[in-house]
Amino acid sequence: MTQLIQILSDGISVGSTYALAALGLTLIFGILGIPHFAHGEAIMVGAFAAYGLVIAGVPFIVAVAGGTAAGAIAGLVMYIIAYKPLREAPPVALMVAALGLAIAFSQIAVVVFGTDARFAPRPLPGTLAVGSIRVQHIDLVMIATVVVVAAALTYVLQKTTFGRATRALAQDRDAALLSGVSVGRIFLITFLVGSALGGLAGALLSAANPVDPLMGTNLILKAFVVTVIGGLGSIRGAILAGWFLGIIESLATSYISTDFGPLSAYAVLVIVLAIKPHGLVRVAGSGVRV
Amino acid sequence: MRSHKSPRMVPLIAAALLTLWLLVGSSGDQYLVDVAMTATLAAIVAVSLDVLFGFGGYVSMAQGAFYGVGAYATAWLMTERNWSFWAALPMSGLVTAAIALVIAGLVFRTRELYFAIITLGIALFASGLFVSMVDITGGTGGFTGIPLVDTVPFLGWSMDSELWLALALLILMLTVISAHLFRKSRWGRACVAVREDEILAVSLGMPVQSARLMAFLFSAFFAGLAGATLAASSGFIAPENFAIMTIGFQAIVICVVGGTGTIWGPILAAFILVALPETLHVASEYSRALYGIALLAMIIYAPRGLAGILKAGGAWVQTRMTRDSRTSETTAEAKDGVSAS
Repeated sequence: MTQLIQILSDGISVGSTYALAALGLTLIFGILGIPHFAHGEAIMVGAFAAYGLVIAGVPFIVAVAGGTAAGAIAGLVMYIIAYKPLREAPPVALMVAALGLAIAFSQIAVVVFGTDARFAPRPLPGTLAVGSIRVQHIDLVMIATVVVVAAALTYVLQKTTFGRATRALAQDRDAALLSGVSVGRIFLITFLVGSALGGLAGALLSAANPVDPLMGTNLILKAFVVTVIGGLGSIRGAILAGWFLGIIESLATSYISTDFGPLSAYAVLVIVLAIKPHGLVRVAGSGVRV
Repeated sequence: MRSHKSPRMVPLIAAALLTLWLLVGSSGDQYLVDVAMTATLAAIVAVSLDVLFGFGGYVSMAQGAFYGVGAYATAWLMTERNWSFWAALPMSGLVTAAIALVIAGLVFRTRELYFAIITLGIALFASGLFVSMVDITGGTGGFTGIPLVDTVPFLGWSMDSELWLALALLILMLTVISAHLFRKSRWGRACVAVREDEILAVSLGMPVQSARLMAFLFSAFFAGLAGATLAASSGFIAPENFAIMTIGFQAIVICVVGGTGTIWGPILAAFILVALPETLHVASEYSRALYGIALLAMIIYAPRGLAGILKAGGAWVQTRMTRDSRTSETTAEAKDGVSAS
């Protein structure tokens, strides 16, 4: 029993990193409809920025802020290079462009930093023990961040004019434009907020995990799994799906084999998409569910 | 508008590949032969993807997985079952197509973005299996001890690297001819119709379901043949040969840069993107960064790829040569060739 609770708690810790990676994608893929394969690279850039700042001796909290900003800057660069010129392009072109961004960013990082994994000195090395169940402090920070960010996003999307405009844009771009919504500006801001969340996810990841140029590419598929399972555009769904995926992986690692842990995430993705071909919620017309 | 209209495409490609083999084979430069071999295998994988992606509009990221299945099938049959390579080669293609048939039941429940994501999931699952099924694949250490292929049966020629290159080029040619015949068939026409307007294609009674299934099996079968050739010619395979970044994305890049749906465009792009960085001794991480940049540049500025640019260039030259009253019309066509997607 204790072992099972430990497995579940490990699953929620890992799942929170997936959820945080998926929150940005929920905004960009779920709401804006961009198949943003390069979101993983915003995470990677955030992780490298935070790592660099921690190595330079900056307090961890400042490094996290720096990583978040770096993610937003990476997003801005991607938007200017690819998505702005392709605003009117068909979905397949957007998808290929996203793939191009992902390859270009990760491989340029390989050229600059090499493929070796780097480890930052752990800013929060402690562990919380409840009975025989142990949770690392950094995992608690991660879980808390996910919940706070989700609550903030929910508030903004539900209660503010900006949020209403974003939801209008998600439902029907032309109707939103006709109603006086500044579509281009909202689009850019939502994209940048999503990328900043990617940077934040990367910065927090760098505190407990190795940092390397291909980390984003490995993480992005899981973020897509979470976004799709959670229902596109649903913030609460993304968190629950992140935890669900983390727990599945944790269970598969413990009870089947260590190798099957990561594979189970891909198996879940394939099965969910095959059962619900458009994800659990359809992308167009469904709007934002919170 | 599409290049298959040109009836001379197949003989022209055959002539170009034969010339390439004569030039590379007679050079006596082992390195050049190896580079040409790598480019030819990449071209087979890309051309077989072009049937699904270019004709049908389905972006499959699982192409590297099929390449790997073909390679491991041949390695296993030759090593554990003592099969001759010449029997293992077609068998590996069939095994790969059979696996694709099972996968098709899952992936064709989705389309567009979701098709790309689900095939990416399949590709990552397969890469994971290549690493973890140590008993069959040898895991990260790779599959060693694949027996050497000595001679060609009946002919008795010894299999040196020039002959391996000839075999790879022959398989590429077989892929091109099959792709050409596929495009002319009911399935090929149905594929293109689906890409343009699926609802219309269905309502016209076109065999939409079987067409995209055949395109998917086509892409798997020939990728499997390429993998089989890689395994037997190199004698050693490892999971990194079939990683998403190595071959799966590369096939998509080659198709887009060459011009999707043109068959000859991807062949040209495979040799430019794979062979050029190698012969110029560019480090592989630089050339992969270049792939990403090339992919972005082409999709934004020339969505019809090199084939589109060359055709537009040809039309422009023709206009200059003839200078007749239809000048403006041809120029408009040339512009259309570049800007339309």
